[in-house]
Amino acid sequence: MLLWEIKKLAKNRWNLFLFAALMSFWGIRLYFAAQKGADRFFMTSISFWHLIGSLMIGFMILFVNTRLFFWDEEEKVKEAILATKSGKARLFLFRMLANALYTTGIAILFLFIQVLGFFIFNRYENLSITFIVECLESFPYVWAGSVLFSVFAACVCTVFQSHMVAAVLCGILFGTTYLLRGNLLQPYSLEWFLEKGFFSYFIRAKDIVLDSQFMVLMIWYGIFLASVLVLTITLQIRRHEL
Amino acid sequence: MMLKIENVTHHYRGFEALKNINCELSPGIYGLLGPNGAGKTTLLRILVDVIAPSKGRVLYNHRDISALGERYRDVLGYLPQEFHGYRNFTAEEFLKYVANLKGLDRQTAASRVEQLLDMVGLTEVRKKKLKGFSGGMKRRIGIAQALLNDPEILILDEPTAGLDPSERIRLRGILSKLSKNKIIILSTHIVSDIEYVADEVLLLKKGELIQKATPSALLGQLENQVWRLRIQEEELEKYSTNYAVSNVHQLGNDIELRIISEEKPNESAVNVEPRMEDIYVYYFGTQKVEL
Repeated sequence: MLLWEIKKLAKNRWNLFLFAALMSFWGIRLYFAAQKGADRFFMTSISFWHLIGSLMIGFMILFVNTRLFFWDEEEKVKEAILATKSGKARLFLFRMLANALYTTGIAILFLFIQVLGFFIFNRYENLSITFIVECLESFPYVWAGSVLFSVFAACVCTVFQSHMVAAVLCGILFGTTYLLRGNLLQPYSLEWFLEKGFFSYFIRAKDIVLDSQFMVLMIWYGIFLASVLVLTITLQIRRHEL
Repeated sequence: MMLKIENVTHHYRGFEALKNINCELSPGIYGLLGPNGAGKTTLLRILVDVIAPSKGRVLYNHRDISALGERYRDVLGYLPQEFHGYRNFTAEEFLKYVANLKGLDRQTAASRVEQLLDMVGLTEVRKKKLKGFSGGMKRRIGIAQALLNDPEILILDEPTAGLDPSERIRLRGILSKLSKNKIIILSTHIVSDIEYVADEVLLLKKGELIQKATPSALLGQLENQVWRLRIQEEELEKYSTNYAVSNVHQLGNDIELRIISEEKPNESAVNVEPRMEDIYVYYFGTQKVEL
């Protein structure tokens, strides 16, 4: 069942489009950065997740992964699926698992693109070790943020039973982190939560290790996601779909 | 094997879609007949446990289907009214996907898919993506997916919609063959489908089950009440206002009518054998006839 759900995710045509867009954009960026000296090239290489990598993973989650939770309705098979032996709770669980696994796969693939780009365009010595260390340090946050965001978006899609609503709502929450200037915000204010509270801050891998508010964020993520999950499960039980 | 509908009532935002339905079904083919909005699809959705009734329950072998959950769905096959299938899956892939959800192992699924594709006449297009399928082909895939687990209870909501006459005849043959030791419930607007295959007919009107009887018993109710007569075109208004008209046929300047009436409508009227369509008109009425 898990493999079938992953296969459905892999068949989404947005995959190819987003990968192509990411690789072309990242390739061009690295090419020009490499012309401007070792420092610029290094800074550009490690900034992969700050903008392009995190945005693309966000798009991927919203356009590919989240659609899995609305696809049955879109393709008019929902009732036929619900009437199958494993079509309720078990399928929902496996879809969540497939969603998390696919997100992990995408994050690893994106990391590979980041590293590959570095080694293709790198013409400076002594940068490699530092670059690899930076990559490995930030990746756990990127991975955790991505998986948590994919679960959150899947829940929103299930609750509203609309892919479009989920994409817009989660897209707005995901996007706030790019619009707010973190260093100017009062800690624990509404803006602070908008900037950091919806997983994209982790995916951007910006200064997380140094963040003294790390524990607060972890507790918020835990409570927030658990509440969304409980709401989703309760609603699905009420709808007789679990 | 028995499926029992016990005091089932269902509300949709204040509207009572089903009103206290009670009925027992044993193996055989049941035709569910009723006009649009009668509650047929709602009743079928309750029977497949896609929605829960507001009141009452459905029992399968004396156990509540909601409590049985997976165990009930394991013996169930369902074709909903609206069914398309994943457009970027091939016919074979889609059926294998559903087989997996129905708990069939890989080997059983492969042979069952092959067998069913052959049964519904889609073997040649097994590798074709569903997005290229016509409405009738999608319907046949829908029928195949419902049969994957060789269900004890088969529920088909308008299975013949979009099928051409030869496909309908083929489906009727399939259903007749399958009906032994299975409860098959089919809802359709095509009355003749029910006439040919159903062992019993359930008539649903405004959410109420108004009849449950064999086709011959229903037809017997209209014995000596169906008339064929020729009239002038200008008389049509009068007849369609005063009688239940089940057919109108223009014959040159005259019109041949089929009328349901306890009394002979005019001197020239000839008594004819009732058909299922007459039953439909008798119970559910018809739109005013105009030419």
